[in-house]
Amino acid sequence: MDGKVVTMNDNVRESAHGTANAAAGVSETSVRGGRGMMRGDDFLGMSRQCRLTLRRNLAVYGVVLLLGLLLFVALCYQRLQALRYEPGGLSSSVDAEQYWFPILLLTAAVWQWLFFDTAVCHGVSRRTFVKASAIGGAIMALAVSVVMVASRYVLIISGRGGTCFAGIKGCFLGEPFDLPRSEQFLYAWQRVSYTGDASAPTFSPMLVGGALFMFLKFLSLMLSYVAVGTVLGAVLAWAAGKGAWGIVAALFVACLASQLLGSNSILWTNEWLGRFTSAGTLGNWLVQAASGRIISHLSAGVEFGTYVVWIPLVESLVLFALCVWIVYLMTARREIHPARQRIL
Amino acid sequence: MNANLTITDLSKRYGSTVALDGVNLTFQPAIHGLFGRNGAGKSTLLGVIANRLLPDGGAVELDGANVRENESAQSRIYLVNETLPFLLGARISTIFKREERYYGGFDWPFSARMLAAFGIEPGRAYGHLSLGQRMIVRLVAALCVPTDVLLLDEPVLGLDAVNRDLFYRFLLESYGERPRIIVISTHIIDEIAHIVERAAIIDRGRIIEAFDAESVTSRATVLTGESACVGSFVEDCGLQVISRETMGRLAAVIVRGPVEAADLPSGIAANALGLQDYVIRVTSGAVGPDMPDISDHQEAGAAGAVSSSKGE
Repeated sequence: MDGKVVTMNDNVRESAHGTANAAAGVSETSVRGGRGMMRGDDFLGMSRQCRLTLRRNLAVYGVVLLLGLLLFVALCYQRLQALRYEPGGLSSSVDAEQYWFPILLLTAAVWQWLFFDTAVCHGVSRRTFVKASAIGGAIMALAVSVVMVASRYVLIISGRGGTCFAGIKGCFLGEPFDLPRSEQFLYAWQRVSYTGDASAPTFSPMLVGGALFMFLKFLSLMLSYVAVGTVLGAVLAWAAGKGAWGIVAALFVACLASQLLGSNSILWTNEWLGRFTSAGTLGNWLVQAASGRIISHLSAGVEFGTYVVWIPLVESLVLFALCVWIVYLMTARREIHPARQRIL
Repeated sequence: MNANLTITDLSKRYGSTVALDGVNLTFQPAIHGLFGRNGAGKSTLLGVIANRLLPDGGAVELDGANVRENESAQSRIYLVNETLPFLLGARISTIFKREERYYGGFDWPFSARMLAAFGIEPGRAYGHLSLGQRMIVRLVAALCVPTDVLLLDEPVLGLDAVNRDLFYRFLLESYGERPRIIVISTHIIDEIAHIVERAAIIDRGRIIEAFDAESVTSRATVLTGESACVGSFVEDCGLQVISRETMGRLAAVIVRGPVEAADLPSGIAANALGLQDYVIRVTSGAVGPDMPDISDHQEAGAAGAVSSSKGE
């Protein structure tokens, strides 16, 4: 054939096709490149693709956990050094619950957004990808919870962090770090009086299983972070599918939402909006349910908070399941277009 | 091993654009060429087979099992296209190990030989390679994994002539060692015309022809001669005109099917078309509206016949 860039001897072609035809009758294992494993070999109900995706997911989370802990240790060291030079002069210790929020959120989002292509390009189904993401995220939340709560509990029972003082934090002294929302569950209740000078809160004796409740509360928070991050990743991936403006718009909305819902938001300080969370309202009930601190008013000016850990735990589990379902719905229609070059 | 990939009434739309419009096609172990113009639907078709794109209708079945979201089936399918499925920082050997884990086997000696021939060190990071070398790495991986269906979308994009020649030789060697369904989508048709056994032409989302590549010379004939003479000959014989070009008094008319030299009147010469020329003529829009499509489902049996006859 004239004009060919490559000239291939017809004999070569005939030879190759002839060999191929001969090999067609040979068993698969006897030809080059045969499989070392059986196809679709399941283990514990997970396909090989699922196990490999989960393994990769855990590797990503493992690296993040390691780096996160290294930075956390550095922050705690910095906090201790600061206390040495100015005892009691610093307002707060390292808030571990706040610290892990952006880390878990971003890791879950990045995984969901950027690792999808490589997985699907290797025969992983969308369902499996979401399944592995959920399992991996839950394991990460569990691992962070075990490490942080165990470390904190050791500090508490060794007496370094368990000193009670008459302040707004009651018995929670963060030194060098604390888990302010979870540590409350070491106790059964808290009583706060707003009358007269007796405004210091008093707590019940520390519960025998308090560490477990503290762990469950912390775990519920970590699960929520991962769940929200996973949805964020799916939304970003969806926006990326719409082009660059989609990502910009999604990030703008995310920033706006974080500003509105943040602890310093005008939503919570505005007087009119504050009524939403005032006592007896649905908003107040939701806030109590999310925190696990059920408030009752014994008398005028006396507030009694009972700590019920299963409420935030169930809430976070429901949130986690809901987010996984949403992510699955979004991922089920997600495609990989060859024209769009990816980072990975 | 005698995999059978069947595509039935496959359709896919991007908004108002129809990418695939009721595609019917059957692939059996052989080297297939998938040809068509830009935007004809080649990449979309391969993407749907590999579960990277989701069809709006129809089905792709591998040995009777729908490949959509089917990991067992997808572990037997490997697609190489523009998408970069590897971490840029990973070493080539690490990438191959990962491919082995996902696909359950890897031909290490063959990969070493190929990399050496292409002059690529296996210890180099994927991100440090040139675009052409990255494509070579993907092709090496594709030829070394034990899949039953290998889909190559523009496989020689960015490869120089020497590397393209090498690749075609390795492709034939790999196929000779382990026959399987190999589908090559490319615009450089002349280069693979002598490699492919079957050819399928897709245009505007529809398969308009699928045939034995060796039979292309008998599928169309170029008749050249004086315009009036050629015209009357074509009309008298009732030949189907694919395209017609006139230069002054001379005309070159491409007609479907073979024309016996003995039947030709004096002053008219007949020449067979090569595969690339045939694809160009069929997809260049010169085809008349009355041109009947030769749908693939009609030739599906023929595809099987070609493959099996090669095996005899």
